[in-house]
Amino acid sequence: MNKLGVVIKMAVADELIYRTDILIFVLAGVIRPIVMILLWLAAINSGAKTPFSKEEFIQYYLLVMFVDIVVGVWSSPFISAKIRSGRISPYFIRPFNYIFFDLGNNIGEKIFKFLYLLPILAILSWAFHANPINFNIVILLVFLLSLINAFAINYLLDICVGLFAFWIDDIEALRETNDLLGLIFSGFIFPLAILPIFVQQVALILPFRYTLSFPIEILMGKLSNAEIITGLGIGTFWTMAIVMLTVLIWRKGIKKYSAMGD
Amino acid sequence: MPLRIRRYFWLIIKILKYSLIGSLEYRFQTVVRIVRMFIESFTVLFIISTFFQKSQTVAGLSADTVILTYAIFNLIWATLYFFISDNLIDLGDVIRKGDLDFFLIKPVDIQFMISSNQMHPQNIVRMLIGIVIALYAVSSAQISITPLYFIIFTMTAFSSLLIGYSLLLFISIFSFWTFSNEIYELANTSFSMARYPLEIFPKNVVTIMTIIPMIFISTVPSRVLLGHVDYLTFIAPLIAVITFASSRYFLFFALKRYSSASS
Repeated sequence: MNKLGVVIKMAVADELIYRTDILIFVLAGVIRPIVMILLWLAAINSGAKTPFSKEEFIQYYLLVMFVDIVVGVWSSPFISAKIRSGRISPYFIRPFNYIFFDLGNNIGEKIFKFLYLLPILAILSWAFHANPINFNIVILLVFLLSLINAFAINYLLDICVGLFAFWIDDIEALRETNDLLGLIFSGFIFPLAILPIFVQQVALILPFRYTLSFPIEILMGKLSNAEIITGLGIGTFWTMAIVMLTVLIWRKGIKKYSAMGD
Repeated sequence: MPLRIRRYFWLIIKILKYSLIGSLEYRFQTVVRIVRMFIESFTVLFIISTFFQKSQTVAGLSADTVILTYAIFNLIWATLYFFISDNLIDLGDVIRKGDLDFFLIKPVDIQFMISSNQMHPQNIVRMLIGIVIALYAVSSAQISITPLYFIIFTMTAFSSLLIGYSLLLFISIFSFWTFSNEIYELANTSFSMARYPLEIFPKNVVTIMTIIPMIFISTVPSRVLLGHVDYLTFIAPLIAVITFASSRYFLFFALKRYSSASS
């Protein structure tokens, strides 16, 4: 754990150079949810019946901005580049060494993103007259648990996509598919509650909901205790499944890679 | 003069040919991208349909207006991406790798060079999707388009193309001075606002969007198709020319500073 701390500190020092770029990134990240809020507000003002009220939509999208930054990942292009250029070779002996550096960079960059995001969120909450969230310590703990799970799923999925570079020339298509499915089924563009019932049931078993929508649903108090427990169960299942998948792909990938390289 | 134009035309054909070969080479990627285009369109149409589930109008607009605006946006953006794909986004990389110096000594206009590196011919599918949805929206609204309105529409559509291109160029010129492509991300999400009719947004947002001429990209041409022609329609070509000239001027301004810095 101490190693991780050191790597994070290094990453923060590195990211200082990009502090303006990170600000712009955070601003870009909040625009789409703001546009969606405006759209839903306009729709409701014209009498559309929606599963969420005005206040709930505002709360939802503000939380989306927050959780999206918490679970954000961007590792796959770097992993695939390292695999294709051969620079992954030093990591063969200790594969988890690479994950350390990558995680460190991820968390380090997020510290900056939060420095920018929190004031922006405060301003937006005031501008939209957002309702404060009612929560008790139990809900908060469960929320944090689901956040950790959310990040794990998102991160490992991304690593898996990157590792496919052992077999595919250009993982862009795979990455875009993953991103697109994630956009729709994680609840980033719209709350899953507005989907037709049968599509919602599909979304319940896919892993994407547990990367964004599920933590938000918990915090907004939209789930019964039974639903929370079921959700945590499915989420944990997906985490474990993707961990196994990652290890499997890594092992198979190394075998193929070594066979080709030597 | 005619000889010069023929050269650019010939260049475009060549680049298109090589880009097509490239698309066929990376077949899986092309197929995924095309599937993604359909999924994106369905998703937006789905969102629009939820707005109109229980009411005929939203912010004074009917479903057909919103769908038409989206379709026109798709059409124009796809045309733009067909010809310039990611070339302007990657301008930062071109500069950092030193390729820009290589481009500058070519006997071709530099703005053309940085805009036309590669093309994405698969966008033809997106254009077709846009046309089909637009046709559906127009017939659903039971509007018959007279030839005159169609000509005016074409005029505004070309203006939109020019404005969209110039705005993209304007934003990518900032990569002469910044280290990464984040500002493009910001612009991208801002452009995503342009795909909805701007009546939905509050007044001050609309004013901003008129000054940065995003309103022309989609809202104005679709208004024309629906039979509403106002002053915005007629100043669109003028705005297009002004925007194009300004971004080109900005490009040469950046280039002048660039050359003197590196040598």
